[in-house]
Amino acid sequence: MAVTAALVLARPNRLRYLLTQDGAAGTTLTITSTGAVTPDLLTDTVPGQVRAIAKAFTDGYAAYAAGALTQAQARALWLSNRGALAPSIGSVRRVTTARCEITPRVGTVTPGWLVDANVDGGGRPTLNITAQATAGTAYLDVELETGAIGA
Amino acid sequence: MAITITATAVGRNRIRYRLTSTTAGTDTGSITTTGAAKPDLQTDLLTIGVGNQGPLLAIAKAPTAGYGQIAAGALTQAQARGLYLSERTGTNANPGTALATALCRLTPQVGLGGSNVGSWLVDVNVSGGNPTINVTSIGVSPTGVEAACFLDVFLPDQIGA
Repeated sequence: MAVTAALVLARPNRLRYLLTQDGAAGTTLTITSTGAVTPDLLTDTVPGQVRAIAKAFTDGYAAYAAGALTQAQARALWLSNRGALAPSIGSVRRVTTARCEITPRVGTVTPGWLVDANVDGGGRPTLNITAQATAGTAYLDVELETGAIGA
Repeated sequence: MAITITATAVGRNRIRYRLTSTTAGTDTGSITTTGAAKPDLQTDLLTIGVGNQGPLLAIAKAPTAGYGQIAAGALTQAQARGLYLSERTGTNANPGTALATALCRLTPQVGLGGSNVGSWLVDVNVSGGNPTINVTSIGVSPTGVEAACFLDVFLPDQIGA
C-alpha cells in the first residue's frame, strides 16, 4: 500500500500519526471514524475530548445531532473550519473542535501532503490524506484547538 | 551553505527558531541539545527568557538526568524521536504515560515571490547519544532569494507559556 498511517501517540486531546508514502503508486489514504481497524479515529482515540468528537455520528456533538453528517460539518469538527454553517456547531467560545497539522519529516521533492475532511456514504466523518508523489514521511497531528487544558 | 538557525522566542514549554536558507537545492542544519554553542536547545532555553524554568529543559537534559522511563545515558534515535517528535512507539521510546513529550512543527514564512515553494522537513537523530534536531530545506530558494520558516519545539497541552 503506497500510503499508510501508524498511530504513534494517543492522548486525550490529540493523536499523532506517522504517515509513510513508500514510493509505490497511489497517493491517498482515508482515516475512518467507524471503529474499524487502525487508522480509525474512533479506534485510536483514548477517553477525552477528541474521542467525543469522533463519536459525533453515534452520540452527537454540541449542536450536531447524532446521525449522518455533511462534509461541511466534518470539516467543522476535524479542521475547525466552522464557517457559516447551518446549523452552527455552537458558540466558538464554548465548543471545541479539532484541527489537523502535517509536519514533513523525510522527503525529496516539493511538498504534496494535504489533509481534508469528508464523510463516507453513511455520513460518518473521514480524514482524507493526499501524499506527495514519491517516498517520504510526515506526521499528522489531530488535536484540539489551542487552549485546551490537559494532556 | 547550512540553514541559519536563530532562536526568536522562548517560554517554559516552547521555543521558536527561525530558519533561513538561500540554497536552491537541499540545505541542512542541526540544533544540538547538550549546552553547546547556539543553536543548542539547552543553551537557548537557559539564556533567553524563562526557558530555564520549564519541562522542555528537562527533556533536553534526558541524556544526563534521564526522563521518566528513559534512563540517563546515550540515547538512540528512537528515543530521541520519542522525546522530540512524540513518536513513542519506538523501542524504549516512551518515557511514561504521565510525562509529556515534545513536538516539532514547521511554519513556512517567506518564499519566492511571496509563495511557499520547496519543502521544509524536520527529523531527530542522535550524535554521540545526544539528541539533535535536524532540519532540511529542499528547493525553497530557487533564485537565491532568502526563504524562511519557523520551527516550533514545544510541549503540547501544557499550562503556561
